[in-house]
Amino acid sequence: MKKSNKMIFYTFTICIIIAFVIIYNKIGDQTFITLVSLLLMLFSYSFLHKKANKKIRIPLSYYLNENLELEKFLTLFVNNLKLNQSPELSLLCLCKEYDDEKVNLTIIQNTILGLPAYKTLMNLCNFFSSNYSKRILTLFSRSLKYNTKYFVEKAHEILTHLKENIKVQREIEGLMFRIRVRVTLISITSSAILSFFSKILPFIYFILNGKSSFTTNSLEYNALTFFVNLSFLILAFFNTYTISSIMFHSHAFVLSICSALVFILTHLILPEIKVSV
Amino acid sequence: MLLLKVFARGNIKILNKILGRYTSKEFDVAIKYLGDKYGLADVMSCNVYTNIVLFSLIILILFLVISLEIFKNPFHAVPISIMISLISYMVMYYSIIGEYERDKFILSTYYCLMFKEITLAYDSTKSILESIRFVASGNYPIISIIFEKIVQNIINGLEPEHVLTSIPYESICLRLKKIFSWIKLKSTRDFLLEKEELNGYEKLLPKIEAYCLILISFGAFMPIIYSFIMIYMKMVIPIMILELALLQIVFLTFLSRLISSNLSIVIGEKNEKEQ
Repeated sequence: MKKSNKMIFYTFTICIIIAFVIIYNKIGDQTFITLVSLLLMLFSYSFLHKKANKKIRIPLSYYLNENLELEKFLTLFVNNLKLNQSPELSLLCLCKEYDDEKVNLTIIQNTILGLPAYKTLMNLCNFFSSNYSKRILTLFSRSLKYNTKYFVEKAHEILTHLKENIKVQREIEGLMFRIRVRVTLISITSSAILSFFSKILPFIYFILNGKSSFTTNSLEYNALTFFVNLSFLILAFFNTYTISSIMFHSHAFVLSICSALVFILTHLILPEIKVSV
Repeated sequence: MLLLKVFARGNIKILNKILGRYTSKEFDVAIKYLGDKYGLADVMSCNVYTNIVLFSLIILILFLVISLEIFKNPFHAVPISIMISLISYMVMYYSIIGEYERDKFILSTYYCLMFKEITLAYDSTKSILESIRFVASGNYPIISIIFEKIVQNIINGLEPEHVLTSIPYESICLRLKKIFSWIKLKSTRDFLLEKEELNGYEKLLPKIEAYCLILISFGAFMPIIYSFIMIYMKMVIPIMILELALLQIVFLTFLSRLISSNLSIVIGEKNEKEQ
């Protein structure tokens, strides 16, 4: 996030906290107000984050079509080269078979200007929006410049290996993402479990010890509740922090805060145990 | 980054000399790497370590005063403040090493793909610069940034060999040297089948997941277990629950470090086998 957006977010958060305190004093419905304020905070954060990181996103279908087009283009080009034609002539012959008018026009213009084929290939990078297509075209252009005969032999192999590489990269990223999400979810759920036990532990203590006269307002009960809640909250925070660090999350601290918030939220949602004997 | 920037400031020479002896090699390498990553060229590991220790001492004194005031009992105040200070020390110290290890993990994860691409690019262009540039344009996390720096240095007139030996990323530097020696010797390696490669990761990642699940169960169920034992034994002292929780965090951090180093060994072995 940008610095100015960060400032807006912090100011907004402080305003929400102040509003929370004021409304709580007037209404007293803790759970509802906490939920609303948390949702507002999350909404404002995501809104500002999106605003700060506005990126032009290419639709997946467009990206796939572009890759197919590039593959078709390169296959036609290599097939023409295999007929022992010069690279420039191969490009010109390709124009008859290839559909894209803009690409064809650039090829013809560049050839009329006397540019070598590898430079034309470099210029064609501008017609492709994905990084993958640009990289392949750049590599093919350099390879063509180095040795045309060798390029003709290796072109298909290079393309196949690069496609394999992209596939493996995506699969590894997918595997990592799935495991990260799973572990983070379990870790955050564990903080909800901790919250549940922090709520019932003092009560169990008083039941098991058979206290003949106790109330949930007693000093002993309050002290036990406070320390159990505090200890379990710290544990919930550090559990997620440690797990996130092991999973090499870049936002370990943010996730730990989320975990602590889940703890507080669960604690607020669970009903109060009020017993007086 | 913020942590490193804050702790890179201030220089107490005597303390730096004394405490500088106790910094681990891993910490030195991490500081060198992060200094280069964030453009803090003059950052010294002994300086950062001294500041971390000093900060932990300040926290110790601060919490000792506060807890003595609250609990009125040194038997509770002293261990609580010591543990809080120890936790703050570990969080700061290991967050610096952790960032370095995270980057190292990413490097190890994408190493095989990078190796394939660099060999492929060199094979088709016979140019080291082109092959490095090709990987730099690959949008690989961290690797591409490092490779862009190398390309910039080469374009600025530095010799590729010199650039490779001077980069602070030991692991990548060594591996690049190996790659280029392979290329120079023309001992072309058969490419790994993508299925074999994926199988390697499919075996490695559940291992990480299993370790994490052990940690989560230790972190979540231990406090519940000892609280129930305390209740059952009728030995409940409210502050003791807090002390035990803090002690557990210390153990949890040590355990996570143990697991992290184990993971590094596993990843290292995987890459060694591939080489």
